[in-house]
Amino acid sequence: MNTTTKAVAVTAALSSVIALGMVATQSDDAVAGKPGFEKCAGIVKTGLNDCGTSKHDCSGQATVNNDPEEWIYVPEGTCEKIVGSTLKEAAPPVEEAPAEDAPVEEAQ
Amino acid sequence: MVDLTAIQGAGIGLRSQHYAHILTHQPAIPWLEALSDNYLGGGLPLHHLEQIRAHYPMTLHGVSLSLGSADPLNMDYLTRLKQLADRIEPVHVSDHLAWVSVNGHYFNDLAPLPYTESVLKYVANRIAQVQDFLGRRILIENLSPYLQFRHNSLTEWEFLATLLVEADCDLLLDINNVYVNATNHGFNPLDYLEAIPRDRVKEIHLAGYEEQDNFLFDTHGYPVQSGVWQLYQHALQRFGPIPTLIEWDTDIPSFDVLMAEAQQAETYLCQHHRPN
Amino acid sequence: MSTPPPELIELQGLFYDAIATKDPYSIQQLKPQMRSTDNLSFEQGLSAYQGSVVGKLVRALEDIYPVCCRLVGTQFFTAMIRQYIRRNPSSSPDLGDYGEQLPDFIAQFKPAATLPYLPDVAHLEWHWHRVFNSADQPSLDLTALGKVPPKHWPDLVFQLPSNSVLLTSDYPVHRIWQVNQANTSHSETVELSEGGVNLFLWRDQYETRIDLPNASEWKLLQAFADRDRFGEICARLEDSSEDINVAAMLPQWVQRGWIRGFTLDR
Repeated sequence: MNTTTKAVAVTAALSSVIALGMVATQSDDAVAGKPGFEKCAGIVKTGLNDCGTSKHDCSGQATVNNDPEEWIYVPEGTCEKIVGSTLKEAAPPVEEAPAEDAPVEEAQ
Repeated sequence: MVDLTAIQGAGIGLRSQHYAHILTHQPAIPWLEALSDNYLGGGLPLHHLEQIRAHYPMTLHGVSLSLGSADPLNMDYLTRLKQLADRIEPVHVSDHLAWVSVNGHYFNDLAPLPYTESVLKYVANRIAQVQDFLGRRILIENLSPYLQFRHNSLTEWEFLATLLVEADCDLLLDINNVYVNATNHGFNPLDYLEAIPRDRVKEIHLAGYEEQDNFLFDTHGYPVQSGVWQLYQHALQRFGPIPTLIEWDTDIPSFDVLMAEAQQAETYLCQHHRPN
Repeated sequence: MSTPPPELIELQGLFYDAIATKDPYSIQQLKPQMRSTDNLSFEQGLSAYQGSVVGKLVRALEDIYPVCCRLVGTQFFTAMIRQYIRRNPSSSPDLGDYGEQLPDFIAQFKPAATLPYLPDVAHLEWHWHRVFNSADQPSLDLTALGKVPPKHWPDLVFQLPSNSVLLTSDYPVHRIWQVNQANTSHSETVELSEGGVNLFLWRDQYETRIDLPNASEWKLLQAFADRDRFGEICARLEDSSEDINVAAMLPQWVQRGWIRGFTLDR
């Protein structure tokens, strides 16, 4: 391990961050230069809780006590939009480390 | 200049579908009521609420205090509710005479209580604890239960009238619920109104039920029905022009439809003065 | 008196089991405790509550998982979540807390096995919902950071926003999510061979975002998520073959809001 490189990087990083506190207005470049994934903006979720009103069970009384028939479990939504192989794809191209065992990993 | 610290006239229950309309057009509605349970996190919902609060008198109405539950009070919920109330500074904070949880499991629906002396003492004590914690009086609202306990020693109105005094809290009188209950459980709704102490009623709720088989189902998905409007006028005669709210929760219509309902309530309100 | 009356504990237990779990024994025990009227029988009242309780949970899951619902169709989705609801009682006053285990349930749900990307889409929807509704985060306290003596800088542990999530999938779930939003055209398709993806979900003030970090950013995000000490991160990443410029990235991330706090690990 190159200790000089490490020390230089730590010092450079922290000096720049602390300097941020001394500028009156922050530059928007850091955010503007990062468009991210568009299309997320503008989505408004509805409130989930109501004022305690009664709800109809709209999902079908016939299936209340028994597992539904097999034919219900044929997906017939927009999954036809998802095309191509459904076999497990290679690990993400940016991920050169050994592939994760679990398909989804969470942090925080 | 609108007084943001008091409510009067006929308001509307705030629903997320109408944020944009309210913020853009600032319609002439005297006050709004927000559902506390939807703002206990943060982000855009709370941001919208604060923007709207800046222009309208507002009350907070919740469903999860579970005042009648045998479970201990949910202090995490109470803490978040207090934080919200401290931030929004609502004119009133209200919840229901109900329980929604048992053994840590939640119905997320309002269940009825047995109306007995021992339950009354227990609930009165819980309400007092909540009021102490929040540092303010709360309003409790009557339900429209579909099941009633056989061994009730008190009627709902006797229970409620005594509870208001014992707990020293106020009442949010849901006229639709009184009407629905009277039909479903067979009593005279005027007896109910007659039993309620005049000075405890601080807010009235109106909503639309629907008919299912031979009983009434409280879905808040229709305009206020004529029988409920009639009972409302009886209530105004007894209690005076109490601030009134139009609630609509299922198949929520455009804001204009709610405005028209509120206008109707306003017309009745104008015909009544506070009793001497 | 804050001890509940014994009869209340018993009645509420019965009432809950009769309605939420539809337990036949509890229904039988509850019935003589309740009063029927001409207009409303015990069975009708019970059924009204049973339907209402399920109806609320169904509606909550439909609102939290709209893309999954669109992908499989309402019929499949409702049948699936009914099974989920039967196995997973609600344990929070807030319906927005309900449904966290649904992605894992879908992964085990045999009829959904033909759509292997579905559990990952569900994970994305759950976290999107949580990040959207989460409490606002304070920004990094630069004054406090400025007080840390330079000799301790290598021992700093930086924190990503607590309302941010790193997600990895073997499928292009962000594209699947995108073309299945309520307002998108129906003609667009997603080719699964586009491959996997690393996603960073976070909130820029009130706007919930899904970002696609590049390889260097992902490595640094993972290092922060693992709470590695800053000195170790610099040593590892700056020396690595990719030549990741941590010194340039850190101030950018602070400004962007990707770094919200720090601790000293001495």
